[in-house]
Amino acid sequence: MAHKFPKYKFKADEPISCEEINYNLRQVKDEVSGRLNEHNIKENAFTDRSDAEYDFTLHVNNEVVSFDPALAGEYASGSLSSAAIGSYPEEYLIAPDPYTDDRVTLSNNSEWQTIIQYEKYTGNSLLWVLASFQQQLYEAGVGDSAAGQYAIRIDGVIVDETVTGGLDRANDPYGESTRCQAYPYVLDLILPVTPGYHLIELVGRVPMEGDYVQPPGDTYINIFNRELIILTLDPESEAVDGDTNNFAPLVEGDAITGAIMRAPFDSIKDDMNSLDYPAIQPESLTAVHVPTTVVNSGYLAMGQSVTSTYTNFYYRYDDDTINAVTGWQYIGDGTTTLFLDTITPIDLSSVTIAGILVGVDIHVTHIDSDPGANFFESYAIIGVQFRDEVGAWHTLGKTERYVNSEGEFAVVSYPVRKNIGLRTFITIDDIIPYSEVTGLAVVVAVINRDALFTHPVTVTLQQGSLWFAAVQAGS
Amino acid sequence: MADITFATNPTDGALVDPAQLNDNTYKPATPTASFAELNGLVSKANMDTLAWKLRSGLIRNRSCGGGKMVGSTMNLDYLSVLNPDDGDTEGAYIPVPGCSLNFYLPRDPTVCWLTWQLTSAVDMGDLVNEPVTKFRLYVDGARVSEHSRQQPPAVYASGRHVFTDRIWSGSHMYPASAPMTQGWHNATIMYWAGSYEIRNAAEVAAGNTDEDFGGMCRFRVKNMKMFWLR
Repeated sequence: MAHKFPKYKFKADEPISCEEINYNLRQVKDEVSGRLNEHNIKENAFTDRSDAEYDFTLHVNNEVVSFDPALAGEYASGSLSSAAIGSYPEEYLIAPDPYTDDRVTLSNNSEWQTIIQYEKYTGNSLLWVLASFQQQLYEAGVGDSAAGQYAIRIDGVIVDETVTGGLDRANDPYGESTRCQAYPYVLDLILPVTPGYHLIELVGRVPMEGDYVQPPGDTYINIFNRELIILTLDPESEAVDGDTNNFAPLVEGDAITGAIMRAPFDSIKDDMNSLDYPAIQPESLTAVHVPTTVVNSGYLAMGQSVTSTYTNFYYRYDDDTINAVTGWQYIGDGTTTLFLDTITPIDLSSVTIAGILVGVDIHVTHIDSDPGANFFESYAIIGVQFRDEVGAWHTLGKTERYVNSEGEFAVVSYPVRKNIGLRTFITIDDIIPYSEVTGLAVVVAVINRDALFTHPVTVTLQQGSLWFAAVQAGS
Repeated sequence: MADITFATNPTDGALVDPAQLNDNTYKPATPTASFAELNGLVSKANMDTLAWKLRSGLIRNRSCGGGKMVGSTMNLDYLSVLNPDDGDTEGAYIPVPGCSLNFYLPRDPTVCWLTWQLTSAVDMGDLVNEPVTKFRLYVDGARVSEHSRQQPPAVYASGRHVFTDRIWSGSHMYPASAPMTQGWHNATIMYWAGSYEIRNAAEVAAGNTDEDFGGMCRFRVKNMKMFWLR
């Protein structure tokens, strides 16, 4: 409420009216009984996040599916033995349903189907929805057959502005899908929502071909690693009960002792010295009063004008090895490496830190193979590593994303010029048995899956960036 | 501020001093000794923080964060011949509608993200002159050089190749160490397309690389978003 000034001022040698005292005090009492707001509360009144519930500003929810696509020809973990697929890694990657695993294979009937979803209860909230996933397309012949098209769907309605490719089929028959074989898509959306449950989905489909015919049955699109992240700003719009503390006024005609005179003053003073949350008017505190929900953040960028090349072979999924021949290499341009090792430790075992939102964008300009290789089978893979509390680095399998080279078979490989995008939310579940993240880095490797570890592959990278933000949030 | 402690109090057996009552009710010179603390000086010290914590219902919506999104779903076609031949020419890059955003930050945010999505296709270019189309992020009129991407050439021996369409879902972040500031800002993806002739591999082999004919650049669904946290 507005500032308060006493209506009555008492003077010496004049009678003091109990009602006038009561009036002055009631103004104050009324204020501390649920009407305190931004006019009453001091700037930076709360500077410590420990003064706040975990979710006072933000909820973060993420749904993630991660597993080994056997890029390196063997399955690093899980139910499939390397012997089972060792001879046919190519078939494993592209086949629609040869094994029981967690892939989503899009059907060819051009209907939208759910890839990953989450149902979220919100208040009058603002959603930031991020979807990050790995597509692998297989088709028998290179032609105009369709590829994947993706979108974010909220409560059953496609948000058109998030659709990949085009919506104007009449004037652009090949434009609905973005023709990339192996490609890590990122979609995101910012949308205000009303209170209630909301179904948030990443959906995909295989559009009709340019001539309105269904793609051939041997056109498959598999979705491997995938993550749906939902940031809910202002997660709840709860009603706050008013303070019901009673005020005992002075009564005219009563004998007034010093103690009786002090009582209403002390009562209100005690209220003001120990305010409970109902004293504050709902939705009255603003950013000037409360702490930030961001625990830590950082940003690195590289390669504005120079390129860098890598020839190190990808060893296997979720492997930690850094090696110039077989293993990962850190990405850099000679001046800046996407390698943050000076992060103030982020203790993800703390209930106050929900996790770390991470974004990576890498420009892959070329993937070159030797003349005898199948260009289509040359891949560049990136991933994110974190450093634990004792200084060891670990790859997060769920962050592995890759692109392949495309061209005319055995004739020429085309410039790739694809963006590898990744968004992920790292939680304690991702780093157990460790508890702290003390560094983050982006790593890269290459492989030609037609002849593992024999055909050399060179990937050329240019621009790239890595950012992170650790947040206090509920879920 | 601190807990309120009255300087004096009425005592039994003594006359009530009006000045005492006045001071305890309102004395801005010493607000911690009166209810004047109510006028904008209430702080954590006044709270029973052992019993409760700040909660979502007390925070005004969109005061500790916010966001905005724009997008466009219509195809936009541009003739590259209308662009300057040299991508470094001043003003060569022009904004992509639907991938450009004006926004207002009501305070200095702790972190602020920009994200965008742009699907593009061309029908021009060759392996000699690639890349033919370039994209850049500009924020408040200044190029953010790490966010530049290029479209591969699309015309080869077999004709225009559909595998050369591209989607760029990019992101940029202003962290706490280099934050964005309060006020109006704009972010836009700009593009430039070189006026290279549509030619096939045989023409390239014959040395025909004249820059005398333009191709077309098409943008499909695109968007630009901003999200900030206090």
